[in-house]
Amino acid sequence: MAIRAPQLLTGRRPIRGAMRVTLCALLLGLVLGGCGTSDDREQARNAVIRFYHALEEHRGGAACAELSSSTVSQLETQSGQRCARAITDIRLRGGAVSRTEVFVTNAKVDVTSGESAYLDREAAGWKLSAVGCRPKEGKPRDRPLDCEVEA
Amino acid sequence: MSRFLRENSLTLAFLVLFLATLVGQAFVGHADFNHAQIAHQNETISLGRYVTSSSFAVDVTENWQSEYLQFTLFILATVWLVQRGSTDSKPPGKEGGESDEEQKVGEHAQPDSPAWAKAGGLKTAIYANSLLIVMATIWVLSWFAQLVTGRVDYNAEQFDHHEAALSLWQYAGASDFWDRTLQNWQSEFLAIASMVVFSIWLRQRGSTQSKPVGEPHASTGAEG
Repeated sequence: MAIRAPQLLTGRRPIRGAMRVTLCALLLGLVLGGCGTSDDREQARNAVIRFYHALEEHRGGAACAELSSSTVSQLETQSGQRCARAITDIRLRGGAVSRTEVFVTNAKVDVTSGESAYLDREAAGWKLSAVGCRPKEGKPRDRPLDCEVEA
Repeated sequence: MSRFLRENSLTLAFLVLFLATLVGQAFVGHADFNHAQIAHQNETISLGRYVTSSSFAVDVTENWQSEYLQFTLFILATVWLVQRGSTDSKPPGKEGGESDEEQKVGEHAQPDSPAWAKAGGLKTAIYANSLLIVMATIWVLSWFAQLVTGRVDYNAEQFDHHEAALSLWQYAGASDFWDRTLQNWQSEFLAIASMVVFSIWLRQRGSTQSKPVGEPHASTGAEG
């Protein structure tokens, strides 16, 4: 019969190296399937906390420093003002962080007011690409959230 | 050493091909991933980070699972199903597990038969299905690995689009998971069907996957 699984004939028992490699790789794949490292989750969480604290203290510049460059650019284009001024005009409820999820180089942080923030990992660290996001009506997983500020 | 290489050349050749193409996939996959990252204004990642990422893992495991499913189903199907004239089939009339004498088990085992073929009972029952068991196990594990890593990769895209993440259960029912799965399955099943049918009428001198060149088309199960 054709298409048999190969065996190495050495006069010893059939080699199991290929099977071990396969199974180890599969286990590695399962381990890697987790939701980001704990460092990534903490950094993303802290970026959101710093952002909301800066807003509470009316430090627009500090809040803008947590935004991605494309988000800053979009905010300034839409508002016609510098980010540091425009960000303080945005009505965000904020709140304590309730959940942080990280997948590869993208993260989402939920706060207790029901808002969410999306972050991308850039060379300078985790930066917010969208803030003040809430689900639209209907199935949220099928549609983008509606965000107050986004890139 | 030369005897070892010669007597195991088939396995060694394909292991080398596997490793070479896996390394090649790592490089081109890394380039493709970073191209997409730049297009989405996201950070690029190193090769080391990429090959330990779910993005690479899902691309590998979605192919592995379909190959092992192919082997699993083909091994099982060739017990009960036949194709007259094909190298890959038993002759019609020989369907089923065959007799102990034909399978050389128990009292019909030869002196150099594997130990578990002679043992009888549960050991022989397990050994008699060991190829199917191992192939099916690797298929299930690799398909589950595809599920886990595919969800991570998919959810990264979801977040990039400011959408919600899917749970593992939700991703198992998602079109992305089944698109990856079925696009691989269709090619595997087509390959099997092609091989079974082509071997009826076509020949490759010297290959175990072919009947002898002069073997009649109606001859079933002969190998070159």
